[in-house]
Amino acid sequence: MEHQLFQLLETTATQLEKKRIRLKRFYGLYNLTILPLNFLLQIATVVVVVGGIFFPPFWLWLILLFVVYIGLSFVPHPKESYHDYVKEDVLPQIFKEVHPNYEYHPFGINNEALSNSGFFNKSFFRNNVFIHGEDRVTGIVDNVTVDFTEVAFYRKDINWLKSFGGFILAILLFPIAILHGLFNQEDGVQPIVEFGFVRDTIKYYRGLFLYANFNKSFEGDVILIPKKLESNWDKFSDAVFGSSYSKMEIDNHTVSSNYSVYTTNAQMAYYVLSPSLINSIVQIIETEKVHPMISFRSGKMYMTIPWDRDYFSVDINEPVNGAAYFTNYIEDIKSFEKIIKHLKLDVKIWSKS
Amino acid sequence: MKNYLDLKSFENMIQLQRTLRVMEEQINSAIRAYNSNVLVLNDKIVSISTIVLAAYLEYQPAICFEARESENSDPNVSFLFR
Repeated sequence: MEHQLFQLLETTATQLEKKRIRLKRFYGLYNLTILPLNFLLQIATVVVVVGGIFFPPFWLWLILLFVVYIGLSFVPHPKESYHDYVKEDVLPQIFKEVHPNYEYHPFGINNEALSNSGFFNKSFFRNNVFIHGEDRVTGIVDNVTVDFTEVAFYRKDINWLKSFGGFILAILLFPIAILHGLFNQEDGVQPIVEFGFVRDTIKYYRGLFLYANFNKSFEGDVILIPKKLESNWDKFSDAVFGSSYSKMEIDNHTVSSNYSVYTTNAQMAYYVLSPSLINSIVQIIETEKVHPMISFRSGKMYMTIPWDRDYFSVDINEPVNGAAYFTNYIEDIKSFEKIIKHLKLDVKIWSKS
Repeated sequence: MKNYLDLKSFENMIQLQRTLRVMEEQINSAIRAYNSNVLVLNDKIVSISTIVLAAYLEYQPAICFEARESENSDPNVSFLFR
């Protein structure tokens, strides 16, 4: 480790440890006060709502509860504060020292690149609950413009257990609803019991999204979709099933048995998918035990690697023991370059100049 | 700082190397595309679902392309420098 970097990491480690100890104390206090208060607030809300059915002025208490709720929401969560401090203040400094060509963004995603990747259909971005992007790294590796982001896709799915619980609760509340209707006939129809499914937001995909300039110039599209993902990837690009794409065979057993390859031009696809690139993809599949989605579109390469690897993970319970604490972070930073070099995207055989 | 000559010929040489490399890759991809289609055709000719139609249309198995020894040699570009 270079001396200058070591000095920076040592100083940062000391500051970070001080911050961690302070926030950890507050974290304990937070768990003892704010969390129980939040729980009590929820119970009080239910009590006030149910009580208000019989005595409507009781609902005025909701204003007070709302004010308390707003007040509590302003209390920062120590774990999140620590997380944000590391990502917003510590990591940019380390990036600057380890790889000055990189720019680090704690949160965010390149939506344009994601939609250009061809992995998703037009309705994906409308239907999806939300896409979360974290640890976005942009920059240049050996003259290759790159953009890495840790992505997670969330959508709403029916929670059958909660739905069943809600159904039982609704049945229990039904007599109250009838009584309410009998005593408040002049109020008109105001249903207080509603039947329906309870939906939870679930994370259904997590991985690293990579976007880079490809080392060859080509016009057209090539998309490699893992076969096991293709069958249940209901959001897969409409375009793939359009007339302009055709399925092609790849002269490699691992790729042909695990992937469906679609292209707009077979000869161009073979030009893009050179034997050396296919070997690099096979190595990723075999060593990492993952099946990335890969596409090549108009001189760009897009890849999502589905893994649970948490880049630049932050744990408030983990002591910051000097510069060694940042070893994993530095390895994460260097791993981006390794991917580019592994795919040999830095070896350009074509130049516009 | 010394003022070295800006050798344009060096750039041209790099450009030539790139062009040759691209051409080689293009030829290689065309061969792979052709051979892939040959394999698909040969498979279809003998597969149960299409064997009758293939026999009726008198389709014959094709042969994969293989470059001859002389075609595998490096291209001679010396005439470009005369």
